[in-house]
Amino acid sequence: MQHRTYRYTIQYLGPKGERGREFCTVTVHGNGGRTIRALCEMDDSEVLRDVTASVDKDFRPEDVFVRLSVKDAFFGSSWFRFAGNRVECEGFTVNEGRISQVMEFDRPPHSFVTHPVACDVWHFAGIDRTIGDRVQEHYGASCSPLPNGASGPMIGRTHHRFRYLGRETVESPAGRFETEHVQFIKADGSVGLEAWCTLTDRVLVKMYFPILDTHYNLMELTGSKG
Amino acid sequence: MQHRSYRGKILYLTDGKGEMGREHFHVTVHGNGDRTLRAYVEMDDDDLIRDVTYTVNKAFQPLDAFVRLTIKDKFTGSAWYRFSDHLMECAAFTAGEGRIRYERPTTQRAGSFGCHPVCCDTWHTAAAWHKGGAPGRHTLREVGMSSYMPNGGSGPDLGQIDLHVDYLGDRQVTTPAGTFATRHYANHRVNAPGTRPPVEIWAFSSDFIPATIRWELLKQTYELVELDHTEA
Repeated sequence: MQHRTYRYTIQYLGPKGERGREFCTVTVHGNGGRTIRALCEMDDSEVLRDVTASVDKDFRPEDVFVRLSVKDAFFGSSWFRFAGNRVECEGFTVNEGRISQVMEFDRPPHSFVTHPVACDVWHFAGIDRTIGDRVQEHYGASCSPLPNGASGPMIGRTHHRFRYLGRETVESPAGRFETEHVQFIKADGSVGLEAWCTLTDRVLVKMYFPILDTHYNLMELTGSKG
Repeated sequence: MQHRSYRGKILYLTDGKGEMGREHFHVTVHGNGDRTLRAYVEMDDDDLIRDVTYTVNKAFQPLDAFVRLTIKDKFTGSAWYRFSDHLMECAAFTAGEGRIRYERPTTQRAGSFGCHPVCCDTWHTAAAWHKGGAPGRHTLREVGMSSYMPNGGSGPDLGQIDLHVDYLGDRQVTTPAGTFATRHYANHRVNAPGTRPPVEIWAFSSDFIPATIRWELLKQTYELVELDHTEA
C-alpha cells in the first residue's frame, strides 16, 4: 500500500471528569490528500457521531459522510460533496426527512465543520502566518450550527475568526509535541476556542472550549509520521 | 452512552503469500437493535482502501450506508446509500462516472447489502438467520451491492442480486483471537449459479462476528486476530 496511516484518541475532559472521547484513523496519500475516520462519543448529550472526511493537500474539503445518533436513536445520515464554489448534500434526517441540498458559495469554502474536535484544527490549516496575532477571517461550510453538532446533518454557512499565536512545545498524555497555537475569536472579541495541533499532520494535541468548559487532550498517537 | 460497542481486526491471508490485507471493525449496537459497522479495509495486492459505515436494523436489514474507495493511492469513489421499505437509492461521485444517482424500487426492504467488508458477508448470514434459524437454505431477495467485483473495486454504485445462505451446522473454531463456538454458513449468489464458489463463513455470537471466512475464488482465508467484545 502506498499511503501512510496514523491513529489517535482524544479525551473530552469536563469539570466533572471524562465527558467523551474520539477515535481517529487518518490515511495520507501520494497527492497529499487525506481521509479521517472519526468516531465521537459525547456522554452528557448522548451524541454518537461518525465522520469520514476527505480533504486535499491544503486541508480543503472534498467529500464527507456524517452520521448522528442522539440518545441512542438515529438522528441523521448525510453525504457532502465539494466542487469549487458548490457544496451539495444528500441525506436523510429525523427532522427533515430526505434532503437534497445544493449551496453556492462566493468562493470555495476554506473548511467544513463536521464537529469531531480532530477536525477543528484542520479549519485553520490555510491561515496567514505572516501577520502576527491580527485576527483574520475565513468563510466555510458547516453540517450543524450547534456547539455539539447535533442537528441536521445538512449544509450551512460558517465564518471563522482566527488569531495565530505562533509555535509552542506542549505536552499531553500522548507525549511532547511541537505545535502551532491558534485561538478562535468570537464576534465580541472574546476567545471561543483555543487549540494546539502538530505542524504537518495537524493532530490535535490539546484544546479548550469555554462554552462547555471542556478540555480535549491527545491520549494516544500511533502510526507513521509525516 | 446507552449503546454497547465491540471491535476487532481480521487478517486477509492469501494462499502461498500470507497476509495480504486487513480489516479493522468497530460496531455499536443500540437499544432498538439497530447496529452500525465502521470498517476500514486494506487489500494489499489490489492496493485498495475501503471505508464503510453501514447501519442495519435488529433483523440485520439495511438502513443506510457510506462506501468510499481508494485504489492505487487515488480516489475511486464516494457513495451514500439509503434503504426504505420499497426503495434502495445511491448518491455518489466516482472517478469513472462522475456524479451519479441510482434508485432501485424493491418489493420489500432490501434483504441485505453487499458493501464488501468481510464483516458484511457475515451480516448476510445474520439477515438469513433472522428469517428462520434452522439448518438449511434461506434466500435473501433484492440484496443491494456496491460493486459486483469480487474485491468490490468498482463504483461504488448500486447493483442487486439474490443470495442463498446455507446453514451447515456448528463447529468450534480457534483463531489468534480465541476459541469460538461458531455456526457454519455458505453464501451462494443465486443469479449466476456455478460461476463462483460460495463464501464460507464460521461466525459466532448473536452479533454474528466472523471467526474465519474462506473464499476459494480469491484463494483467501480471513481470520479474526483481535477482538474486544462482551456478549449482550
